[in-house]
Amino acid sequence: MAAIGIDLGTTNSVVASVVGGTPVVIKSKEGYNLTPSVFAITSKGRKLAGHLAKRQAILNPERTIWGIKRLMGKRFDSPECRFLREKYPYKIVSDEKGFAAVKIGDRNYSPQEISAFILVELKRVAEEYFGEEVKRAIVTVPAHFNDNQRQATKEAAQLAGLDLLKIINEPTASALAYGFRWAKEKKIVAVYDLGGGTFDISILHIGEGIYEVLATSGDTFLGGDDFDARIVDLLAEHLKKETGVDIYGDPMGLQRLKDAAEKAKIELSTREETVVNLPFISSSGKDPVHLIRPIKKAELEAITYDLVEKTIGICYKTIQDAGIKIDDISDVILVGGMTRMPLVRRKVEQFFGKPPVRGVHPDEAVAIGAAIEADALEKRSAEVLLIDVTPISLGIAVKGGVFHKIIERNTKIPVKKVEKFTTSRDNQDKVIIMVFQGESSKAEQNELLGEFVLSGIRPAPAGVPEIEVEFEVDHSGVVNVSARDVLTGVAQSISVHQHVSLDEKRRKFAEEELKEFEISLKERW
Amino acid sequence: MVTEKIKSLLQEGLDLYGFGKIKEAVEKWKEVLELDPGNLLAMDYLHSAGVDVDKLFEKEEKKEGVDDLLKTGRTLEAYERVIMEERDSLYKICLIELVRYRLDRELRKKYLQGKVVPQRLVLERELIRKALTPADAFIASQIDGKLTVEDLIDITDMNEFELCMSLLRLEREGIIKV
Repeated sequence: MAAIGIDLGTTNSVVASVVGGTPVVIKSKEGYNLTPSVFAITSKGRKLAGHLAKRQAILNPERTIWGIKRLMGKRFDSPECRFLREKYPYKIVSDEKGFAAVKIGDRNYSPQEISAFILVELKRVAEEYFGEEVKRAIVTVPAHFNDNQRQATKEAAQLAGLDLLKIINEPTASALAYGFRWAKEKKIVAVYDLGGGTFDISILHIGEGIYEVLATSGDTFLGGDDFDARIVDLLAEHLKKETGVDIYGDPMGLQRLKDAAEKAKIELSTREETVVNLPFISSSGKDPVHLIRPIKKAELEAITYDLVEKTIGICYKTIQDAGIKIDDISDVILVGGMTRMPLVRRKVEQFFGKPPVRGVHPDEAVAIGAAIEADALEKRSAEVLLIDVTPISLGIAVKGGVFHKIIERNTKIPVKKVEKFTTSRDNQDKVIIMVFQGESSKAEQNELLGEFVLSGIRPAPAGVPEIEVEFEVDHSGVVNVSARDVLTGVAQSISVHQHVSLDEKRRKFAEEELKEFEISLKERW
Repeated sequence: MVTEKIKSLLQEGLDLYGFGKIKEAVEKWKEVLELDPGNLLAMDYLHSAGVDVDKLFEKEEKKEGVDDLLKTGRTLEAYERVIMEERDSLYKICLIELVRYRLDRELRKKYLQGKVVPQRLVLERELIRKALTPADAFIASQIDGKLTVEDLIDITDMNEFELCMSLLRLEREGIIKV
């Protein structure tokens, strides 16, 4: 049975595998390399994932979920979520634990459930290709994902019926796809990843099969969609001026305009000019309305220049974080469909002072890297050794709400660390261990991963009992925490996932729903 | 020859009318109108017999037309004709339903049995030369040689009948083939 690598993206997802020693992206039967990360339930109750879901998005906006990756493991009252609630046309609600969920009709879906539907679609693509069941998989996540987000991704994979071998970081996967081909010399590389919805920049140290992330940063709201939106605005304005039609009030017309904007953007990566030509885009009064508008490459660059500039600013800061000089970077790897845009390549080349490397497929590198690692794990090959780091510091809340770091960010994983704490009151018989992830010295400003109680501490004056707290981060970046009273040996632990994951009943229900969906997909094709 | 026939029919009608056989007389005069639409004498006689000539003529003609269309398999044209009429009688409402039912059955057989993948024969930008509604143009723009009719129903959020009607119209215009 083949193992697969999955790039579960914000906008698009890709599945790859090593076939006969060569990593390849698995095309769907319909000939697509990418699967849009979109899930929808039509007004007739049919569940759709991927291309079909994307193509009906504007006509069915309240029941079409896209960009779910941004909500993975996020709390409903987090600033990101508050921002998205205004931006997304679908309804974002809070689940019983305070995490963000989405509402379709009268049913709430957690982000991991929505992601699971997309993973089931990808699983189908792989199974059609191999002609047999596919279960074993690696799924990638952004390097800056915290533990809740990783746990949610893990649960999505499990719900989709996958055996998750590991979670790996996207830039690491891209570097792996790149490094797979060249000699084993030591290098510092930059992975510039501008996808459909997000931008990530990572600086890695590669050599002798070891891939170490030195620093990573990004913008979760900057990607190809923003470029498309600029073109849509341009076209809508033109239409309004020429015909008086407001296309934003016409879902069918807007869907066509959006598709056309994306197409024009892609065409302008290889041409100097293209013409957006949409007959019968709308009906204003009696006469049909047509949209014909040429767009020049220079015009596109003028209206999106600031977006590219923004990414360069982030690159500059990340290099400083990594503690290196620009000249130390020997290779720049471009990942994500948007890096095909000549303006992006030009600006990146200008900034890094060298042209980006060739031979890395921008859409496929992440999935290819994941496939290589999956294959290496399956074969227990020692050829590739990934060393990743924790992107964000881990610790617990201590007296006065202070955040005490136990594992600093950018620590290599897997890692295990133990620290001793004590009580703050006389005869205190229990302590609450609250686990946080973040960089703020105030615990409450960081992400709460979970909490548990260590009770049964033998009565003693404050400061006498010894409580050992152990943090363990596994090779997927997933956190386990335990606490032990040294004197009595009483111990408590949590695998932090209990916090973000679905309860048993919800989980069973979701599993059944996903099974049904999988069967319906197979029937359809 | 025809003139002779008309003259004789007009006279036969008058004779029947004289004997109080109004219905039979009306039939004779109607026959005249079929041979010579707008024959003033026949219309005058029919009017005298209390027949609303305009209405009768219209109804007769349309009923005939729709039947013909149905008989010759032009269900879409029949539907387009009946749908334009005012629904001012039970007969007309029933006729519309009958034609719609026939059309629905035909459309299902044509587009929804098995996996039917329509192909577009003209580029999107060339649609401008065709007479289309925005909805039909939207469907035409979505046809990519990969999507099945069922997929189109899902992504356009239209009901099966509406969507299949569009496909039929697009096919008739030579924009797509199935």
